[in-house]
Amino acid sequence: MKNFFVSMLCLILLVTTASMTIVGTSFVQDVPSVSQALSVSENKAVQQKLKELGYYKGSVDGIYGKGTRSAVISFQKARGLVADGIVGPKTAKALGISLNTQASAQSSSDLYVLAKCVYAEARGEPYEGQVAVAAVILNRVKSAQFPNTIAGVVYQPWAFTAVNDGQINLEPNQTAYNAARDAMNGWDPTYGCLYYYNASTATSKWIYSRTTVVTIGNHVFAI
Amino acid sequence: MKEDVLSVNHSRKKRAKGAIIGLSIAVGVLGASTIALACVYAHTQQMANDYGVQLENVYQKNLYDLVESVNNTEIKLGKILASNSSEFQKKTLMEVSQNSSLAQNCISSLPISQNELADGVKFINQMSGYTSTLADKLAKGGELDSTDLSTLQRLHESVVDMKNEINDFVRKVQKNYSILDQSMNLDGDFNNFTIDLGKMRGEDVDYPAMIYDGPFSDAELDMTVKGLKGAELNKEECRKEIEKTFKNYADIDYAGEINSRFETYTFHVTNTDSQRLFVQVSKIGGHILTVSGQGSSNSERNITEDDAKKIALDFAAENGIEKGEIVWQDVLQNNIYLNIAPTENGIVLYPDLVKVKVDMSSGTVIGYDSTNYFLNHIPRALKTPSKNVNDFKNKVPSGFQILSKRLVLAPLDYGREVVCFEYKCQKDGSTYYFYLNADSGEQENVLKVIDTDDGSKLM
Repeated sequence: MKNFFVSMLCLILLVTTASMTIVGTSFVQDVPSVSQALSVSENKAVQQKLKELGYYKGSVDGIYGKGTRSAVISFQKARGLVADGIVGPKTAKALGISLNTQASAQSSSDLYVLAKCVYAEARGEPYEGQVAVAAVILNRVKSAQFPNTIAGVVYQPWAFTAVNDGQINLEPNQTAYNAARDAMNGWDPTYGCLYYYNASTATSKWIYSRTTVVTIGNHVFAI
Repeated sequence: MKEDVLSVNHSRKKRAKGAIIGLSIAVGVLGASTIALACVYAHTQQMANDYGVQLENVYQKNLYDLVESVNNTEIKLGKILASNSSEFQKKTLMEVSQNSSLAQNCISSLPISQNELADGVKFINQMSGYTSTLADKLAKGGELDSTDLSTLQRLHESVVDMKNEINDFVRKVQKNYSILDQSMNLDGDFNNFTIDLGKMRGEDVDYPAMIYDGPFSDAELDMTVKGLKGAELNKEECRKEIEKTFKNYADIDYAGEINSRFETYTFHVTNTDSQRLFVQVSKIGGHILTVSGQGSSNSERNITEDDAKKIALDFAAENGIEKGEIVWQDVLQNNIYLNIAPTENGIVLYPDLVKVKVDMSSGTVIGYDSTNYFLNHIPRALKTPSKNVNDFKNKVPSGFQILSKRLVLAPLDYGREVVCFEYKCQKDGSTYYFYLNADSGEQENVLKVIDTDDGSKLM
């Protein structure tokens, strides 16, 4: 009998805790991580200096990747600085470089938003399919029928399923970034399409009325 | 015996007492848990309600801004038609353009089912583009002709209808209408809010055509392919063109065809580094139009930037882009992006730009785009201007150090191409490109090199 009550008690507490956990997380979204925010030229200066000091062996390309970050951390540890991999004023001073505090380099927020949408909508699709999704977003920006900015198109209510259900807040991977960058550089495997849909999951009757141009992976691209 | 019975009774009483205490604890815990769950539920509901109120407020704000923009647009179009002052017309046309732009922003921020209001958004965007084009015409000393006035008259009539519809709608909103709730109720493909607001673009509103060369004009989007020449090839012939270009391929798979602005056969090409490329070949002439590939994840560089430039120029030349000149480059990760412009009589043809992406690990072309070239390239018979590149040097704003200069064909707004002298200049650590008309020396455009977190851009 005693065991029965103890079991009941545990069960009740378990159910209560589980319910609180489920309810409590229902509004939580993934938060993008903080990224290194130096300009390309500043990153190049950091890489060059770290290379001269023997901490960095990669190429001096201005891209703050894993190699640069681990080299910065090694340098910071060796100099007794906070080893967070971020080149702030103290690390920059220790490296002997000056940062442009007037922030002449601007963020690539348009590329980031585009890459987020590509990742949310088309991860798992072939590379050209991801470029094609990015190209459709950019074609919409140019079209009179849609908003006139990348963020305007991506966040237009009811336009993209993955934006509606919150997947847009997932952090994009390198493939999505590359695809977004190619599309911004002018690649468009769809030659001007404004719509796409997954033929196996699309429920809208309207979308089937559009003229199909090409099918890439699971997506049908249309004008 | 009596003691045994007493002992058993005592034991039973003890167990019963324990059971009662246990049951009381269980009931107590159950009650506390229920209260806790109820509190969590109430809190969550409160949060959901708060979020809902915030969202509804944003929607309402956009709706009221939309109403104000449409109302202002109608009033200002009426004033333009009433006025005979070109200065007033110019100023008010610019205001209409800005009002329309704001209206577009508002309508795009409301929870409208996709595409139901596409015609309405197009009308508003085109009204913004058309009125700014007319204002530009007046700023250059022109006048509104009878066609312009007639189009403005029809625009005004449409906006009056739109104004009536949207003001009727907003009266409905004032009577406890929740945009959020209605947007969550689906009726077929569209939500109820879309259906309610859809009256704005309904049969009562007729959108006039606006024929102009300006932002969002139909002419801007109706691009015809001017540069594709030659016989139409079949699938196998196009495949042979790929074999000629990708000499070291491991596999070529047919992937389908496209019949759009460009008509192409599409193939998946796997090169000897196991990199998979998506290649589109034009049916007319068998030209490689697009190559899409991600490249390897190998970070080791086996070629120099000069090697990559030669690979890109050779690739372009093999595909008919003669006398190409590299006009822009950017290295990102292990890929180099190169823009190649063909030249004619020593003039760099920017409208016909070809883009190439080379993997600096494998030394192969993993991206190629010649669609601009085949859209725009025609024999232009460009003549060398009578002026020299040094004749207009003094027209570059003072304080700029000229780094380089050359003769180019610059693509300007809405299909216009002008032969210009390009001056690459520097001031205060920033780089600018000035484009001066090669005949008049008038400044046609200014571009600035923007350093971003993701490489350099020319904007």
